[in-house]
Amino acid sequence: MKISIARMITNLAARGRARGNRFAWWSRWFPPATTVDADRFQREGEPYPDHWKEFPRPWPAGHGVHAGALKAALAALPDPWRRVVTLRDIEGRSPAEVSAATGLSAEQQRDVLNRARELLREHLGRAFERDSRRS
Amino acid sequence: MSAAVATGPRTLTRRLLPLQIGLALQGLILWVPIEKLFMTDIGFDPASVGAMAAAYAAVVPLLEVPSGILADRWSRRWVLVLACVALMASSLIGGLSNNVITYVIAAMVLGFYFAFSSGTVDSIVYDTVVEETGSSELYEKWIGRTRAVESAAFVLSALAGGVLAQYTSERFTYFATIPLVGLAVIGFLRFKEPRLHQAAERVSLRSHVALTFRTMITSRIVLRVLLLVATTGLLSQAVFEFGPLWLVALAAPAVLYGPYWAALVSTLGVGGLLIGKLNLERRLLLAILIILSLVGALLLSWTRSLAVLMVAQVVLALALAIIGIHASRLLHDAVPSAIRAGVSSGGGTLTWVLFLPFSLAFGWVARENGVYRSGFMLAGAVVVVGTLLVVGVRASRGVAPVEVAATAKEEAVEVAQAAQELACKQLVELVADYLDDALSAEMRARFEEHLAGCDGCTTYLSQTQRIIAGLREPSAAARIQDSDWSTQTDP
Repeated sequence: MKISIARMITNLAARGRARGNRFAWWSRWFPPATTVDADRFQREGEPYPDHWKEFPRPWPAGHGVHAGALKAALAALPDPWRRVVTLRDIEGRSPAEVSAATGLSAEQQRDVLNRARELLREHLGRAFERDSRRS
Repeated sequence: MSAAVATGPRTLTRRLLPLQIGLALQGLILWVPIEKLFMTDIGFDPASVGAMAAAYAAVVPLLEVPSGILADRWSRRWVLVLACVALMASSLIGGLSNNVITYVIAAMVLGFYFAFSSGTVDSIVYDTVVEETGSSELYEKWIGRTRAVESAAFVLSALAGGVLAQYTSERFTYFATIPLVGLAVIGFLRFKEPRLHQAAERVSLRSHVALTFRTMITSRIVLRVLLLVATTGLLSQAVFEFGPLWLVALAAPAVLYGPYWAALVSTLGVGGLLIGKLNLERRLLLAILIILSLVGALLLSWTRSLAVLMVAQVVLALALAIIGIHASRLLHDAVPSAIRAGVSSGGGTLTWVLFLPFSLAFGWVARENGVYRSGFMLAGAVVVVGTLLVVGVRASRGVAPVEVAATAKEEAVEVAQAAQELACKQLVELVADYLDDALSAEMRARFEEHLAGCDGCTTYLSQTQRIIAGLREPSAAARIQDSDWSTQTDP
């Protein structure tokens, strides 16, 4: 117990001074959550830092987006994300309506949408890949 | 609206509530304040106390990696439940102990509790915040609240444990802890675990180890600040671990241990409050802090008055808490953001590595020459901290403190503005803003300029648009192709 308490001092997060919470320094520092896995991009020291290591693979043209794969991908989303995607992208509601329904600001909705659509895109990309291997 | 933005949506508050209740109950470890008293009663001497602490220092870092893997692969919530089980088992074995060997076994089991709980809560809160709001912006606010709840529980349990030990028995505090921790399990089981595992992924030690290590050994400033962080951590760890030995030596009554321990624990919170008000760039203030800690440490070697002793320890702990926060900020400002997490866990590991021989030596000196004599070891460590602090501060002078963006999107905008261009890694953060037409005119121009020259991002955007089209009207999606995204964005 004693050790764990003292330990917190070394594990603290001292992010910005301005936005610092007075208790948060006890905690671990985490980098901001990114939409696409940071490993997909070139690092510092590689020829084009922050550019794609490998381009996203193009999907076959002319195909619709698999309804089945999309459904499965939607089901795999965390509930709060699926709620926002359903309201905004499927039902086409306005940010203000979604704010009233979920308590998320328009900004937060965009943060959720950006990440959720990326997960869907990943999921569908894998579905297309499976298809192309089968055919 | 503003209230909702400040703490996030109501669902976030509701969702984190069972976790916080669980943590509050888990923090009510009633035997902590009187542990050293009980240990002395069952036959511990300062050397075996030191050896036990050294054993922790060796075991906990070893267990941390497997427990982290377990949390990621299996379930963080269940890892917290395992931590509770270890804590209950340890309290039971500890409470039943009549000799040093059994108690050391209890301590080893407690090592599992440390390893399982350390860092797990932080990652759970982080992932829950991302899952509810789409970004990590509110993480700091919520981890702060969670820590406040925990620290309140620590203080409460310190006071209650001392009183309980006085009026029942020391042994009873161990058994009384078990049902409280059992209730914590219910809280954790009612918590809906986030399905995303972002926090661990992003700070995966493996991918950062090389870069982190290189930075740590090639930059003298970083190395110095790292040593400062580790020595300060070592010292406050020593005060918390060995401080009660002085009370034991003076035969303090059990009831005193409660307020004493509560005061010691609360220095962590008070230090956090004070740091906002103090400007540690000022040399005078630093000198006062160093002198206060030195006086505190030296008093431990001289005074035989219980009151002076407790005040000296609390002052020392408070000064160390403030210096510790300051040191971490120096470290934070000295390393680039990509490896900050790795470097700060390097600081944690270094603390353990230094603590191991220190606690063995401390225990040995305390047994051979009395705990007063080993107080000089604390004073010696304070001198090291003071020296590093003065040198470290001088080195960092002129280096502007780094303000770090709270979200990847904010960071992307800042990076793009500083570099006068947008790279792929930043572009993908801004796609939803682009499609909602929420970008500034300047960023929009950069966005489109980048798209015009980058096939990868063009594919990325068109796939995202195919997803959106597919969601809205499954049959329409077939018409959009990867190559002609631009025709589709026109209204």
